[in-house]
Amino acid sequence: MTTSLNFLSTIIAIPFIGVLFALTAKDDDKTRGRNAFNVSVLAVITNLLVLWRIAALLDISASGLQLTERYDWLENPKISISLGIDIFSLLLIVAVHAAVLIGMFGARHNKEDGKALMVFSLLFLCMITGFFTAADIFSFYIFFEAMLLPLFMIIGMFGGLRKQSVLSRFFIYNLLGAIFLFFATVILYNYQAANIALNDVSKVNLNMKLEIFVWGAIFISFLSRIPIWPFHYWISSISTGLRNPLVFIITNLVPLTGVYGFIRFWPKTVPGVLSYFMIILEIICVISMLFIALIGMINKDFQYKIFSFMTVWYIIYLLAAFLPTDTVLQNIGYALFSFLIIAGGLEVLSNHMEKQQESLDISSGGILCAMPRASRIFTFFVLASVGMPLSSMFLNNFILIANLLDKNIRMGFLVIFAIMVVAAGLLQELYRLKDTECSLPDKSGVADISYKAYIILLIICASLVLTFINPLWFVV
Amino acid sequence: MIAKLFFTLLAVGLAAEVLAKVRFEKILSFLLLCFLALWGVWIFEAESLGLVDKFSFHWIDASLMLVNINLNTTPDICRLVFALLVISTLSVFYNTFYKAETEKLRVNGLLTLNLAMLVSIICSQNFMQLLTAVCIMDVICLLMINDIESKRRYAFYNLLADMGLFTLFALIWKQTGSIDLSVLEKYHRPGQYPELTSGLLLLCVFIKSGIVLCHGGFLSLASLTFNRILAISYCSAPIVGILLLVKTYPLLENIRYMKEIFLSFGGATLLWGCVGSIVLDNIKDKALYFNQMIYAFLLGALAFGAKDVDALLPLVLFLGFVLNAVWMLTAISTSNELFISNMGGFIRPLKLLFVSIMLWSLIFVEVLSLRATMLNGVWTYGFAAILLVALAHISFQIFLGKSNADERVLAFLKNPPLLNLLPLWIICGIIIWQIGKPSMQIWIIWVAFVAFCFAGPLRTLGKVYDSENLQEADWLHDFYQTVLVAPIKILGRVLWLLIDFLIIERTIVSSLTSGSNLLVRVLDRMHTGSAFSNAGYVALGLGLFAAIIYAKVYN
Repeated sequence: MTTSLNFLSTIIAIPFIGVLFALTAKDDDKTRGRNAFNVSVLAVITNLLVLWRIAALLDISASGLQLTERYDWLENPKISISLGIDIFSLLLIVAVHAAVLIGMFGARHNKEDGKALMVFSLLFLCMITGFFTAADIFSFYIFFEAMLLPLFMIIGMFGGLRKQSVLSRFFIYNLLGAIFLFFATVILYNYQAANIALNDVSKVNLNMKLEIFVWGAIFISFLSRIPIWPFHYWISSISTGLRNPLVFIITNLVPLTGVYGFIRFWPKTVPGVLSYFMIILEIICVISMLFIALIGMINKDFQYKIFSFMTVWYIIYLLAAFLPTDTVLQNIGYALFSFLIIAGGLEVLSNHMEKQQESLDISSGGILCAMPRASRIFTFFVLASVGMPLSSMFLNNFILIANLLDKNIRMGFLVIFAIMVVAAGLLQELYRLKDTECSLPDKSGVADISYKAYIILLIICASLVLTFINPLWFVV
Repeated sequence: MIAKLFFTLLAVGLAAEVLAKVRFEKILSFLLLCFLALWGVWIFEAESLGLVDKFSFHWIDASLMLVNINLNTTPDICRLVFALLVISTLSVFYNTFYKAETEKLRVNGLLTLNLAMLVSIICSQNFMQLLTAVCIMDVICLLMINDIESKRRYAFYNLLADMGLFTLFALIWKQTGSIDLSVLEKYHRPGQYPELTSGLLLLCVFIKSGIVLCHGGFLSLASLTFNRILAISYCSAPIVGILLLVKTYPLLENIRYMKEIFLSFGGATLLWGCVGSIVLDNIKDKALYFNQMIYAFLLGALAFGAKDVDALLPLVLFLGFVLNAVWMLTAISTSNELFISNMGGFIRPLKLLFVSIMLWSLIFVEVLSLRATMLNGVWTYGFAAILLVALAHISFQIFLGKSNADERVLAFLKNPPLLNLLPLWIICGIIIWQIGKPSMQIWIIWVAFVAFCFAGPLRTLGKVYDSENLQEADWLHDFYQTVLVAPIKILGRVLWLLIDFLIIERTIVSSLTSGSNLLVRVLDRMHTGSAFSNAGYVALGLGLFAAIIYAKVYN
């Protein structure tokens, strides 16, 4: 489909323009980053409107990338940047925007370096949007690595108490991933003597040694982004120390890039030499999932519980992406759409509770009894996250789990066990926070979420319920 | 007709939830009651006329799955919907007029939505509609529970049940390629898992209907107000369990020993319910154990065929509901005294309630004796005998024998308002009108029951009310905590300590950090140290160079 306006470059450019505006915004003791916040929210909402227009232009039933754009970059070597979008990428971009928007609202009262946070968040959004629209290996590689820069700055500035050790781990793991993907990209380019479209990577005929090396490199580079053992530790350690919802959300979007990488690169018919590694990867995935779900259940930190919930589902989506069928891809997109919004909502509310608890120096047990508005929304998000029919996660997860059970029933049951453990952990926390017995007079000073935030969150909940009725309700 | 009912229930239920906080909630609740009663009349009319009407629409039209929502009208569906509509209307009635209920319109709105989902379950022809309605009902039921511990238990148990249902339907869908409930009949081919899926289905049903070993969620409802116990017991999860069994019965027919499983679990639950209702002091607990007996009977009855249970279900549900309502009215009449040990000798001030129980027992005996021929005589009469023994014992303790009531209770003791009793009597009257006059045999059994009641042969069992350990015992919960939950938690802690902390944090990350620090220190000293260090650095480079040359030349 061709249009007069380059929509894809527009959605990458808008957050970047937002960065420029946010940089020039006045930031003193009076404004305290409010200007930068307003500019950032405006940029994200504008981008969401453009995305809505793109959704209207897309042909949902068509396969392959649409609204493609191409820019020649270098003559020698000949490299051009190609962009394209399909309904799967669109859903992920919208969900990431929505999650970041929720995070921005959650972090709007951040007093220190609020402007820097907004600037780097917008920059991250710009890069991740580029990553999801990249249609060739070079642009994919560039955006894959470029998003680490704002992330590095965000973790460095807002990474909590252990940010130095976390940063070093972040650097080691991601450097490893970057090097491997760089080699894979260069080898593929040299072999074909041209830039390769993403969906053609699996069609490149390599000799056996190179095939093992290239796919192994791609394996490791994407795995370095996903909390799969032994790569899980940097994200898990940062997730427990964070006190800023926007930083938490952005950090936990990183595994999505790994999962997306697998989905885009991974051949549906796995080359014979790789089938052995596939089994190993699946085993590692399942073990990691169980491991993180079990630790999430005993960990008292709610941030860790959200992290374990996100990780378990990321791994399930990854396992589903390995299934030898293209038809589940759309279901992964629908499920991920709600999943990211739910995780964002949970994080913002848990952060609000944590702040109240810290400022009043009280225990968190029963804190929700003193904040009825937050309690209602939080209950909704927890029930949606455990798989109740309140979002698109319900039906689409049914399809994904059915396919996993069909592929390997033992693996399917282990996946279901992990889901149950992580759901039990979330429910356990919900009822601890709502426990009326703990609701003593010391909770009287607790502030509920504002009416404005309540209405925004109610709208988000309503949009999630609409995704349950029709996952693409927003497509006219 | 049914489709219209479904959509209007949804609309009215949602409207009631939105208006839940307004001032005139009692009036609105009353209007809601009238609305349900009106629908009851229409559905009864549709059933009498044998109305047949087809209605279905595409809900999801994806490449992988086509989900239709079926809301067809047939006399069979109308009969079951009518029964549930009447029970829901009565629940709304008691919610509206029960003083202890503080959120009348909200609970009534939830009950209306719940009824819409029950209609959807009854009409479902595919398991996506069934699964969705069951899960939505769980959320609604969770919102009706207003006690945190009950909520917690209900949520955990039902999460397990819903995941079981989710898994079994996912498995069947992928293996048969269809979501139609009719495929269950043929689900016993090589490579399929009929035993596994049946096991999951039974687990789910047992949890929902409070069958023994899975009854933790159901019995924890005792801390709710009586009207909510009534509403949940007869309009929500437990009835869903039985409806699920009726809907998926063809799957179970392929399994050997299914009859034995139904009867053994049903029998064990019946005995458990009987013992619980006799031993426990709290009247709410007793009410729940009676409900457990009712569902145990239905489960056992399913061993003899789903069709007969389909016909029996409305009557048994009505009877169970009425008995539960009588316990609720007893508590209201005794100024909310919940402990049986503080009652006794109330026959004179509460004669209307006593008469109600006697009337109920007569109808109960008649209904069961009529149905015994249809089902299995031993099972039906066994159930009747066990339930009547428990009922006689409790009736003796409340209405006869020596009074243990305190002055407050005695001072305010009076019959419940006629308005509260009237619906129960009307139901009893309608049942008698439907089934006809009791035969001589029924009268003899009933007289024996009354005599048993007055004699109170089990009166010595009243001593168990003093045992605090017994009254507060929660053996099954403790057992599951020890056998299931604690090991999972210990495993999680061990994994965290061993792998995250010891291996990754203290071994890999620490050694990487120490290694890189050492390397940096060595290189730093070589760079900035003495001439000796510089010479060493140069020698290392030369050595490396020589090694490369050597490898090139001799390879």
